[in-house]
Amino acid sequence: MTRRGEVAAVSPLGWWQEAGGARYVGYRGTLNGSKLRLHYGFDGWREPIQEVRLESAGPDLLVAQVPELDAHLALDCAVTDGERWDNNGGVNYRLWTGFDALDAHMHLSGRGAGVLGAHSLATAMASAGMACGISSWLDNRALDQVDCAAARIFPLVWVRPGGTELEEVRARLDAGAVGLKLHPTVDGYPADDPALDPYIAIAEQRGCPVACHSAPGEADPDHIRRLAERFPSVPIIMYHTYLGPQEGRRRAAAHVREQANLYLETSWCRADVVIRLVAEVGAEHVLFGSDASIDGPAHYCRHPPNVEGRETYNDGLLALVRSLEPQGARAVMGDNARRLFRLNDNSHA
Amino acid sequence: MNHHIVEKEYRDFADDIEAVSIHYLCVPTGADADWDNGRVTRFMPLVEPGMRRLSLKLPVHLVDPRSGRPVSDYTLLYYFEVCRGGDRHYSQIYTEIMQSTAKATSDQAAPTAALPMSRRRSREIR
Repeated sequence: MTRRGEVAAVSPLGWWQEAGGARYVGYRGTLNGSKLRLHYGFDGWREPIQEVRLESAGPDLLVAQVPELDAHLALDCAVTDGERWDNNGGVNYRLWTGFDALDAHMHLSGRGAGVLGAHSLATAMASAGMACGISSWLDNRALDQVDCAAARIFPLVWVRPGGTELEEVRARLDAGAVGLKLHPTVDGYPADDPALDPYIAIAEQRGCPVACHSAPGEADPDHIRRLAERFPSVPIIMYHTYLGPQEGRRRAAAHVREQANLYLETSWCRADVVIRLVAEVGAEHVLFGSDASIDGPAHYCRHPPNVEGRETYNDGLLALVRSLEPQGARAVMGDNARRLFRLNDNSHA
Repeated sequence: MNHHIVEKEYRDFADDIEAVSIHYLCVPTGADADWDNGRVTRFMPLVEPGMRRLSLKLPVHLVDPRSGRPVSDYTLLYYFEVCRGGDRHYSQIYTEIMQSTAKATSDQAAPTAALPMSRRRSREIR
């Protein structure tokens, strides 16, 4: 039996499939014994909640065949032997049935045990079925201590114009970073600052994208568009699609329609907003992202909800995927990021 | 010149500090501090091992919303957000009286009561 999906590296639960055969849920978690059962529901724990026995399929591997998978978007689940539970620290596990999801906007501060550390992020990713993600951190050196492949993250190089050495950018891209990260708000420069040009020129040479925080002020989409116009071959992703009032989001979308190398990322946008953005600019120009795990292990399913206080990411993603055509859903939920960041040849892509 | 340059330093208290940011706000002296409006966040870069330093560009004048007039005396409030071990920690809030012709030195900076956590934004990095 061979592993099909990517989830197993950050989650003890993942898809398993015999060559040409049926699809199973595989478990390599902390619970063991002959009485383990997969406790599951579909698409946000809709009733009926069911259980199916996990059976041994090899050393430290248990599998369960779940009926009617293809009729649903996602499997939400936990493992129990009737007394003990592995429910991912209380946030449960999710597996998407139709694609391998990728979060295009994450933060990982290092190996620490806090909400921004590797364990927190892995727990959060498993709770949302995120197979991998794009991550950055304020201090690039923090990620030097992390096994990014094991954590299923692809790092970005955080660039401060005038403060980050060009050689460091090149060296980090050589070492596996997949793009550049700009945060004009926190670093205090306009997003069209000419001082950025030597860095974006490196991205142009390397064929990698630039992810840029977008928000009122220095990170306004108008500034970001001017940067994109100077480097039309460099994909520039507007993180958050403007972290501010709807007026800014509409301007961001208008810029994407007119400037082909601009893209939208959706962290902190409600599902209905993302659906509207997809309708405005096309699914090929929208990337799902969440800012995980700023809110810790429960980032995708926190209560009270953390997306504008009204929605969890896990609930919103179900609504989003349900509303899109399958190809569009796959594009937004991972394929666009894989294409832009050129992840398909990478070992943990 | 339409701004003050005020330098702020932060000395790491441990070797495993993952990031330090300063959050600051300028308010007319005596006015209420509204951290949800006008707060500025800046990353504090390491300038030498264990030492972070950043120059803040502060306005010479503020418009006092109570009178609608520009005032040259105002209060700078700031605190540090420190990320260590994946967790965020916050310093107390400091205040300094800023004047157009002179300013309080760092030694004169005085801590003020810490904001309740609910009034701070919970997601500072993004």
